[in-house]
Amino acid sequence: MKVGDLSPDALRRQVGEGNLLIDLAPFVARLRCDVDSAVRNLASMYAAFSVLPSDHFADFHIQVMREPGLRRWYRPQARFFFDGQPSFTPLPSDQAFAMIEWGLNWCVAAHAHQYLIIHAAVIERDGRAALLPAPPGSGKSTLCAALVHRGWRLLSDELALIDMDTGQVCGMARPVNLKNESIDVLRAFAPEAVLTPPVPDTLKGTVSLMRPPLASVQRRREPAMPAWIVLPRYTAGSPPRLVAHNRARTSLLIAEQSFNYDIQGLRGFDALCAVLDRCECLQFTYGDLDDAVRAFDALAATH
Amino acid sequence: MAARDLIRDVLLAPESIASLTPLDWDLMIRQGRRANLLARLAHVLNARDALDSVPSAPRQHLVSAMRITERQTIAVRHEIACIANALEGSGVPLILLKGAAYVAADLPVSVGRIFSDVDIIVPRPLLGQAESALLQHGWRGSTLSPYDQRYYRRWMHELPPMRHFRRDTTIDVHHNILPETARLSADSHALLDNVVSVPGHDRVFVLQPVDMLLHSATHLFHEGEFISALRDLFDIDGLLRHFGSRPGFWDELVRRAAAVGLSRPLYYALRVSVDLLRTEVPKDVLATASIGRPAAPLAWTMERCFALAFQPVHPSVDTAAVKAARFALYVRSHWLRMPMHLLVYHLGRKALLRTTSADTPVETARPA
Amino acid sequence: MIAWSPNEISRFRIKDFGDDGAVVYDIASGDTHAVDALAMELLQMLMERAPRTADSISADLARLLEGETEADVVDAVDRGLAQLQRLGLVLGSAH
Repeated sequence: MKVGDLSPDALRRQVGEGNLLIDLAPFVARLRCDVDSAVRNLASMYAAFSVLPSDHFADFHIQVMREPGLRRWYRPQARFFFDGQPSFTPLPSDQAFAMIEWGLNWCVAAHAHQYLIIHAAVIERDGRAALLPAPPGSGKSTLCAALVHRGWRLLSDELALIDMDTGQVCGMARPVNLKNESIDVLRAFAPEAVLTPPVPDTLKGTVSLMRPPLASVQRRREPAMPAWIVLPRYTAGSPPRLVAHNRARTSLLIAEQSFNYDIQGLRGFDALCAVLDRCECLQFTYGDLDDAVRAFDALAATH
Repeated sequence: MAARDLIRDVLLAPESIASLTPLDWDLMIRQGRRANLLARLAHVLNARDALDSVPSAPRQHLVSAMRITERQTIAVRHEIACIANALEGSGVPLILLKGAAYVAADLPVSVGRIFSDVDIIVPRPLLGQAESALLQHGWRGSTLSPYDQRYYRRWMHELPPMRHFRRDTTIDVHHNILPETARLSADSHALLDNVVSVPGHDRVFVLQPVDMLLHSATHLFHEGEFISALRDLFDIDGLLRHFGSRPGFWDELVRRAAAVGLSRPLYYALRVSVDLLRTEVPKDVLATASIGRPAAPLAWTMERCFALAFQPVHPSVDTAAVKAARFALYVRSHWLRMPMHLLVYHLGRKALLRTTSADTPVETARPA
Repeated sequence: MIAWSPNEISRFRIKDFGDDGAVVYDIASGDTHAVDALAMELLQMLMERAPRTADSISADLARLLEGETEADVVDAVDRGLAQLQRLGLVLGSAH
């Protein structure tokens, strides 16, 4: 049974009661939410994801609930709870779905130390994965969203989960976070993409989430071996340039962009070195998404 | 669903994991995380080669918790070395307390434990030298206002916590080993007279075994907030199990408690540990320790209160103080490296539902 | 005159990327550092023979880098040794 198989009423009821368990392989989230807009977005964004029976083990119990009292009517707010514990300050309730997404990312990043977790986008083609680590604002998510509509599989736009024993990377193929101009850019680039109604005035600007391509969701249990680490830098008007990046500095950058590299200790260092051993380290400057698609096509065609 | 203290039950009877349903695991992992006992459970199961028999999904959480505590143990050892280095030549002896002491002394109770700060105790006359040595080696005083600083120094039994500028670790420098409550008249100085050096490090000291126990017991049973009560109780249980096999330990424990005026907290520690964790305490010891037991009606009330305080860590009976403290561990912990974009949706400040301690039924009953 | 020696090397795990330099993991502290290629070369030299002075290292390095004089490399050597010392990879003792 998929989320998309539930009627809107049934979904609203189930998630309102806190009995919606979504298969977010490799995790399971139990979700409770009473914000209608969030539930609608959930139905749209997670239509292809499986629902699990309520007696199943859940890794993360998440609640996004409307704030009580006056806040129900006056500039309504919602708050994120992790296993019943309020976390983070409340936000306007039109951001409730975004809170679910950010909250899920936090749950994984803060608790899943069985993986080395890097803040990076991950895409795959022909069994080889490209890691795109980048600080926010570097265009990583836009690039990722574009490439997964041009022949690349989406593993994640935020969380690269690295298995420290096998060196493989996996991802949940969850919705891609877009903001501000990139929303319109992506709409123009991939008119078939499904986006949530943009929500203005979040701390990140105007935010919209993009539904993951169906093929990516269907194959999300397939890990891939990292072959490239590409540091993207978007500069309007810039011609595409792909150059080798210093490997020692790339290592440090990956470590810095990791949520739990420090916790992993020596094991993390060894895993990091193993990833570096397998990957070409590149810096990619671009100003146009079509250029980027061509550049990544060329990469995929190498050896 | 009735609140079951699954985490405690399983820690006491690890073989019972065989009968847990997926929902049991689900609840227990959440309870264990809240109680800071997940890693301990992981180590207990690992020691019996039972970790592999845990279903894969819950097992990941246990593994994850172990990773954190393993890393923290390394960090604490390094921190102790840095502190020892800083105090070298200052004339201030390095006496560790609590978690850091357990690590330094290689006690079984240190395994699977979450650490945040390092606690040390410095005799009052040497406080200035200690603070000065730490400042010279990269620790920074807190950002409390001068008024708060004065308040802290005068009324709390420690300096305001100092943070190392580079390692981002915190040291709590205590000058009084016991909480200063009017009701507790105990000879705190005596506890410092018998410190022992840690094997392999003649410059690092910890309390002698009976004093370690009394210290832990006194703090636990004088706390207004039972923030990590169950975990602390497991510490006491662990210390008792480890030292209990040493010849003469039990006699000395009771005698020492009487000598320094800590018979009451010792009594509570033994009583509650036996009742809730089935710690093996020789019957005659329990009887002798009962000199610490208060008069009947009070004793009964206190024991009921403690039973509540160590209640299942479960949302339905969970106190706000426990919730806040649990999250505070994440907040304080520099192991959770939150890149800016995640911090961003904290809106600059993590808001916790901190209720005052008056909200919880236990806090209204002050230990006698 | 300062004589340089490598520190207890078992404390570190080194991943050498050749010309790109290296990354070093300090097992005791859990810190990770990047070290540039020249500093790595200096460390290698010290691991082969120590204790050595900066002058002696500079002389050898100048020979290896044909066309450079000792004076040319001495600054780079000083900086490299300082970097290694800061990370705890080498120790200097006054003679």
